Amino acid sequence: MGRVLLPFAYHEPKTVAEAMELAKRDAGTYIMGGCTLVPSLRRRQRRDKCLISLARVEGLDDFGIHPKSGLRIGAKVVASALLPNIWAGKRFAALHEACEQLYPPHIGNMGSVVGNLCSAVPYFDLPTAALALDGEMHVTGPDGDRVIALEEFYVAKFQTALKPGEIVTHLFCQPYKPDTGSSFKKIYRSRRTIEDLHKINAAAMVTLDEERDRIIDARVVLGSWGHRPNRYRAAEAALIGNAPNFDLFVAAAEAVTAELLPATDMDWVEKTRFAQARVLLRDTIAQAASRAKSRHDPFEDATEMLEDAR
Amino acid sequence: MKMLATFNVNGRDYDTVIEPHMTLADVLRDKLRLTGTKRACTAGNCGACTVLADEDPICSCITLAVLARDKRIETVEGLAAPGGALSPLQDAFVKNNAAQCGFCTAGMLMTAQAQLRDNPRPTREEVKQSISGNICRCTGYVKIVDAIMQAAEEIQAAEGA
Ligand SMILES: Cc1cc2nc3c(=O)[nH]c(=O)nc-3n(C[C@H](O)[C@H](O)[C@H](O)COP(=O)(O)OP(=O)(O)OC[C@H]3O[C@@H](n4cnc5c(N)ncnc54)[C@H](O)[C@@H]3O)c2cc1C
Repeated sequence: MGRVLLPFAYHEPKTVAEAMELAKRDAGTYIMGGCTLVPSLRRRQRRDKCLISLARVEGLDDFGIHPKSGLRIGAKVVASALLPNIWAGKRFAALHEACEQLYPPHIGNMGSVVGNLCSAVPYFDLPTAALALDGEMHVTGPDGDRVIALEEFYVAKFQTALKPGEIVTHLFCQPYKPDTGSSFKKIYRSRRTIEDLHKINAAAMVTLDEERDRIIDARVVLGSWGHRPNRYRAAEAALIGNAPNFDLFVAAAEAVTAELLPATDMDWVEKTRFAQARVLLRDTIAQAASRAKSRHDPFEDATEMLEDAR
Repeated sequence: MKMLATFNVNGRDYDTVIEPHMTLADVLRDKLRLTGTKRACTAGNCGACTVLADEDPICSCITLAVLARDKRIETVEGLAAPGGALSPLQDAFVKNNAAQCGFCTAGMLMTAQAQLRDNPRPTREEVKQSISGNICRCTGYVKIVDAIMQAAEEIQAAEGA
């Protein structure tokens, strides 16, 4: 690399309406931190003629994470903002872990959570984690506001369901059900050949019943495999209704790998990758289940007691 | 599309003419002549271009300069005292031979500076974690971690005294 960027026009609107107007007039691309955009402009993978910065747009810095009201992260919030938040760590652990494991760590100070999700890069981590948490993108656009579930957000490699000019205002995740845990893990650089993907990432969310001895709801997501992170319903079905234990987690992981297609024609590469995926999924589900089981928040009990007293 | 921009670097305001496609590293080095910050991978992977923006380490090689105008930028030139006396962190790097070719050093120092502000008594593990985005191909990192640990101790001792 080392190549300079090609010149482009640049705008700094102050309001969402102004940003959409400029995007329409100049066919501009939105930019937040630029961590995806700048390297791809430099590599000439993109040649945008006009960038519209969202950095000074008002009203995109929502940041609220609470067990009762869910997670709400505005377009301007960078990934490292989640790290010191106790509820992000306890209640939205999958996303918190994905932000914590961004590598290099500097990226967390520069790249926005929403920008990471909007990049639609198949090997990014936050989409995998946010999909396991049932995230939804709140969008405003020339034709009004709408909500897109992350499941429907990724249409193809590098391509989202956003229409031209639409801005994601924030990411929203529903509050957890009681006795729920989530987890995210990745194996970084399992790359062996140029055809091989760099890494594998997985996220899971598990909900237990009131006695905490049976799984009543589950999400199992694998990323960096194919063009987008995917939920694996067969694995989820294998988990639901059963007692959480090691054999069950192994079976669920196998249900995922049974659906995967090899990415190369090199047998030993695929053997390694499939084995890694199995272990990663097994451990991710196991950790989510153990968090669901051990969950205890004195604060939440206290607020529930207060509500009962009222 | 030339524009006049003001950057706050090491506590001083600099007015300069930039273009929107310039990165912060370009502006620091080529416009403000603060050449301590290095350009290496230009992809955000190696950490040689690390500067602090509002006290957080960022990669100046993939940050557009226009996006850094609202931030307080700190570069390696701002570490030493105005008279030229080295900061405790720089001094510890010298004493521990924590640099060989020196290309990563400016970035290492800035990342370490941010960490010691946030966490004045880091463990070795925490130091390794925080400099994990700064790549050094010469030292093997041991002396760099030693230097940061020693600087942490010296800063603590000086504050206690
Ligand atoms: C060296 C390096 C290492 C990285 N490592 C990791 C890693 O380990 N794991 C990982 O998951 N990611 C990683 N990333 C990716 C990084 O996290 C993302 O690039 C970053 O979070 C994107 O956010 P941004 O604000 O910089 O987006 P930008 O680059 O500014 O924008 C990205 C895209 O999203 C669009 N966009 C942004 N905001 C909006 C909005 N509000 N509405 C509509 N469209 C929008 C833009 O138009 C653009 O197409 C890495 C990146 C780099 C450079």
